Amino acid sequence: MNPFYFGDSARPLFGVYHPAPPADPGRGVVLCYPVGGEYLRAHRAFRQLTNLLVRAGLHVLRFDYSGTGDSAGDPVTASLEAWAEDVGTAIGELRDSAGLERVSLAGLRLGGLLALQAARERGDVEHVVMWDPLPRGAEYMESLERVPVGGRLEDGGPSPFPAGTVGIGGFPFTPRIQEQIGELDLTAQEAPGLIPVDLLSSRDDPRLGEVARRWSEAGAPVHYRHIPSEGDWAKGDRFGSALIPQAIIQGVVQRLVEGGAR
Amino acid sequence: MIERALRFGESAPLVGILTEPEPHGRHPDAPVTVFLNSGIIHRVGASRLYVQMARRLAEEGFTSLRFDFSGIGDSEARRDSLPFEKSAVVETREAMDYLERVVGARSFHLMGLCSGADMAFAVAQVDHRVEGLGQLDPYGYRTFRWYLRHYGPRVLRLSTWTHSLRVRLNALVGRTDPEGGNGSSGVFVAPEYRRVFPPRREVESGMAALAKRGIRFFVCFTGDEPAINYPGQFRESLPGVDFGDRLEEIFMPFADHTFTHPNHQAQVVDRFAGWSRSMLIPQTPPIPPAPSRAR
Repeated sequence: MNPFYFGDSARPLFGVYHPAPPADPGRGVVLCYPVGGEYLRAHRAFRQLTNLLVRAGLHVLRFDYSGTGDSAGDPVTASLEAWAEDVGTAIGELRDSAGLERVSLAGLRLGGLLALQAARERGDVEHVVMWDPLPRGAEYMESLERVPVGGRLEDGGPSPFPAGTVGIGGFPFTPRIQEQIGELDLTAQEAPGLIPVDLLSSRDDPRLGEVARRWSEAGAPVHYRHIPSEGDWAKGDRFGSALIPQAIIQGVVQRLVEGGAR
Repeated sequence: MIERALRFGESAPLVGILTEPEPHGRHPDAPVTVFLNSGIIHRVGASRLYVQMARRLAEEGFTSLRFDFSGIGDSEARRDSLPFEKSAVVETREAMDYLERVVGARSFHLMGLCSGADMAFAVAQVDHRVEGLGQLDPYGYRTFRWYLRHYGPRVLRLSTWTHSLRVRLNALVGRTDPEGGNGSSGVFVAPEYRRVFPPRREVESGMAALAKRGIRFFVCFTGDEPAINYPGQFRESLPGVDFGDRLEEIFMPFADHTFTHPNHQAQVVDRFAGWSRSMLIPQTPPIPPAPSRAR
């Protein structure tokens, strides 16, 4: 395991590279976190997912998007373009580190949509696993508890956040990022070509089943699977407890190990 | 600002991030701040508070390390059975040893929220390299004034009495409070550390010893700490500690325990940076104990 900074030195990303045992064949996965409070709740689950994947013989890189976690940057300047670019940078890094031609991607919640976007834009992604993906960004944003941010601090000083920023789960979301997430709509997206995609959901969501059906009809190797698991990523507690839904973690591992093949 | 990912530790491989200021703006002899995990939240801190503090400190010329205790975040679990209360102390001291070797640190500030505050207090008591103690929602104790402020307004409200009567009647007929229960989903992993406030005398005696050593204190309470309800209560609740001018105490009743509101994060980051800056200015030395008179 190697924690390190990589990418553009002006905007370095923090990642942890977990090489597969030397005897294993060369396959690798980039893990894409969710954002906001969900990122904190998911960190431990990602660590566990990583251990299982490495044990199964895969190289793994998990990393923080710019302005999140330990990566450089401020959430105030965050944008979906930058985060999608970060996924691309991480793919390049894993390919270089592990000596791979192609890699798989697995993303949780918003991370799943960022992974899919990267897969559409590149030719070196062999498989995408979307774990509890957000069907519609607008609905997601509306479902989150938010507090207005800005104006003046309680001590009278000016707030450092732009007007219209809201706090969600402990993190500032500027109007720009709110708007960008709000515009995401997986249910309206076109099929992602020939890249195998797994839609795994801990809640039975007919909309994801419909996406899979529509994309399959368009010739894409896409599968939807409901893996009942407890817990709600969007809801935390005041102690910062972690969420580890075992059943769906096992499902993600299984699909990544199978590599998109049926 | 320069950030580096590190691996260190003798008893388990620990992962941390060293945040250093640009060389031209560095205070070379200033204490290095070490951030301690809060519960099982990894080293970025609740609401990414530690990252914000570390980067702000770097802007002010200070170096810091945020790292994960064994079994938390990216650090490996220990192979021995040392309980968390002990391993956290051992590992924080290993972090300080490492910083001595790698960046030439000679003294340290510790900063922690909740269990991180508890561990910072524990380490400061056994390691004299600690010169400053930053604590967010540390152990807090009720005072007479707390009771006045808490119960005073309530006894004048009719709803207090009707609620009390309802609870007692429900208890008589075997009904429970519909708002009770912890709402646990069964898949949340809560911190392993069970926080129990030590007896007040124990904390008072520990704090008094630290104050005598000349340690300086930054203490902040949020509105989620039920034992605190007015500014200055921490000092008042520990009358046996001669804090002098070495305690900066903040009360943020509007903030929650994990500082989820970004404005509140900005405020506490600013205050902590200010306190760290003020450490560069010599303050009143601790009063030496009076020589015992020969009989």
